[in-house]
Amino acid sequence: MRSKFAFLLVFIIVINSPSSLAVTSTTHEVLDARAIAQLVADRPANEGRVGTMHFRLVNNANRERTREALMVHSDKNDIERIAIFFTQPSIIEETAFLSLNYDEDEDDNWLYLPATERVRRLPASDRGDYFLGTDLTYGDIKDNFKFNMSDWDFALGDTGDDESEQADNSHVRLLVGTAKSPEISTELGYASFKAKIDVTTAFPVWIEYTDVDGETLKIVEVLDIGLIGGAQTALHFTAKNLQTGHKTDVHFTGMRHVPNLDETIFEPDTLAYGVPDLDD
Amino acid sequence: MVFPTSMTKSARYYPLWLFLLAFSIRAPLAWADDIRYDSSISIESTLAVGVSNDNSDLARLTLLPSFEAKTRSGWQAQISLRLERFEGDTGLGTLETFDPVSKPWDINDKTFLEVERATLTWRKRSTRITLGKQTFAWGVLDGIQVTDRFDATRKREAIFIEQRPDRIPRWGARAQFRNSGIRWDLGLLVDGTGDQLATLGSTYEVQAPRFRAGVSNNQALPEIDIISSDDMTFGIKGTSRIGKSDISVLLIQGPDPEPLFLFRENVIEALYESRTLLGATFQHAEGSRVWRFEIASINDQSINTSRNSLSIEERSRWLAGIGLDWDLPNNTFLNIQIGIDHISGDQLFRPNKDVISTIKLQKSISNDSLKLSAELIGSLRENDGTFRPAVAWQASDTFYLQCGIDMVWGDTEELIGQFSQTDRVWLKATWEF
Repeated sequence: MRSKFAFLLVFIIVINSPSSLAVTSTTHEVLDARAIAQLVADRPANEGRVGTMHFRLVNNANRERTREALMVHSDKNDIERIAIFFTQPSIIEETAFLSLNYDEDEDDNWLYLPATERVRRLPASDRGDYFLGTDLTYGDIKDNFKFNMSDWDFALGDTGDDESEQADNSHVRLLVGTAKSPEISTELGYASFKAKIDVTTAFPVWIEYTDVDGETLKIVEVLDIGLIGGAQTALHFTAKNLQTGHKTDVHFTGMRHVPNLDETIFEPDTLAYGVPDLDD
Repeated sequence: MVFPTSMTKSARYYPLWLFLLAFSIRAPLAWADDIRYDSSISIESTLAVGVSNDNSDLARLTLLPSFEAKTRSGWQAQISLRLERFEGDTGLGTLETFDPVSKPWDINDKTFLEVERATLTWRKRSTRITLGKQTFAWGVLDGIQVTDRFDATRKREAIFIEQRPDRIPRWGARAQFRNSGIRWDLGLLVDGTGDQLATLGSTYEVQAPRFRAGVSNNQALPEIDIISSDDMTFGIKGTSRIGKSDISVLLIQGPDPEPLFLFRENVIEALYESRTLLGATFQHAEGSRVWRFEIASINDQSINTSRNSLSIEERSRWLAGIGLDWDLPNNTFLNIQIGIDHISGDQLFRPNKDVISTIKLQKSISNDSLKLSAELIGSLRENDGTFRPAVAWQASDTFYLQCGIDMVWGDTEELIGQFSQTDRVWLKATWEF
């Protein structure tokens, strides 16, 4: 009953809020775990956005590799489409990746490698596979800082903040997720997570994952978010694998809302054309 | 369907002039646009040490500078060069097999300069028109060429290279566009460059009689006079995506880049005879696997036969191949392929049917900075083959190091076994700026 009430309340607030996301302090007190997870899951996505991604990959010996890529993202007609065109460094320049993600079907992936001069259809990615050498899984990319309601059992936890911190972070809740089954855990590569959710933005600001054996695996921290086309979007975040010491830092520049993206950007063959000129 | 297939030698310089003309007309107009420039250089240093003998020793330095200008109105001009110097018996391959318009400049016996790529491209949405020196990477299998027969290739190191086939860009025009849900790719090449072969006496000189007009490897080949083809190469491919599958149908008409031989007055002439290839490709994703399939038919394949000692005859040929990509757990990737190449009739210098299989296992570790791979290539009818383990390490954003071993077995008159004396350990360092 309480869950239904909370969900209804969240729904009304989301519908009526000017920013679609503002949540009152009263709401904070009544939201239970599932309602918070639903709030995050229902966070609006924008139809199209474009930005330059800057990856910094640092291993445990502090050796650093960097990547720069144009990221084009669209969420339309129940298909989430992500195209990534690498521009730096030269060793990876012109490599391009396209992923079409469906709600009810396996994703379609293609990769263009300049060395082979071909756009190659890839196997559907396991959600637990790591994405192009980063500390993010394909599942992390696909979920976009949301937690799939059918994958997890949710509970609320203690943020561990002292009293003064609690006063400052009254809008933050600790959401705890446990994979619904060992099969889902294996597929995701995670057995559980703890996430600090900022209920005013419906965005997780800190997530700790455990691996399938229950050992602490990695910590994801969202350092900056922005409102892009009415949707809260992560602009700077890090993922650190605590077992390997490897860290991935991702930040975006020039992130902007492009509502009517050229559909041909998401055609596999055009990956070979190189970085699209979005100012056309 | 009939296509124009011949032009005079002088006319074959037209593509170069057209390219320069188009570029020179467009370039001043482009100043009005916001032009973005990009340049890069790749430096590759390859060292190899022969295991069986020192014939496989190699030191090669390759510089690949590239320059690109791009406008906001969809125009792009790109030029890249290939400057190579070598020491050792492997060499840089034949120059005579290049069309005069594409022939590298031999600065000296050990240093060549080649225009690797020169293109002027216009792009709007899914349409792209490309004029200039370019390649056409068709087909869906890796290194097994069933329908992937548009380009001439470098064979100076036979199959012992990283990416097979190693394509040679040629002068021509290409149009890619989408119409009625079908993706079209049309190409016309006016450059008669054939496959670049290992030079006589070099490490990877062909030994099997099938590639030597029937001449055994214990007999020296006489002088070879290479006659470049005047014919153009035309190709059209239509691709459609249906669910998790990609299907394409294609046609290629033009000179086969693999040479045939005729004896004429104590000289062997190498010729490039035209043929028409009809083919189809299919790839289908199924969970962690992707199946790939290709088939091709050539009804007018010219081939050397032993009739009248050495003749060229037209035979029917069909090729087929199937491959599987399998994304295994723990960043492990498996690729398995089998290809069949059948030519009808008798008195051939090769078996009627070749069956080639490849197995490649690759594992990425340390966030893709280290890649371990092992590849097995075998000719199933002749029981010869090669095993090629390798390690690749991306040390930084600009430096890439690879090393590996090429182990070859089989009889010296067989398809792969002909290189059985070329076992080697190799190291390749790449800098990209």
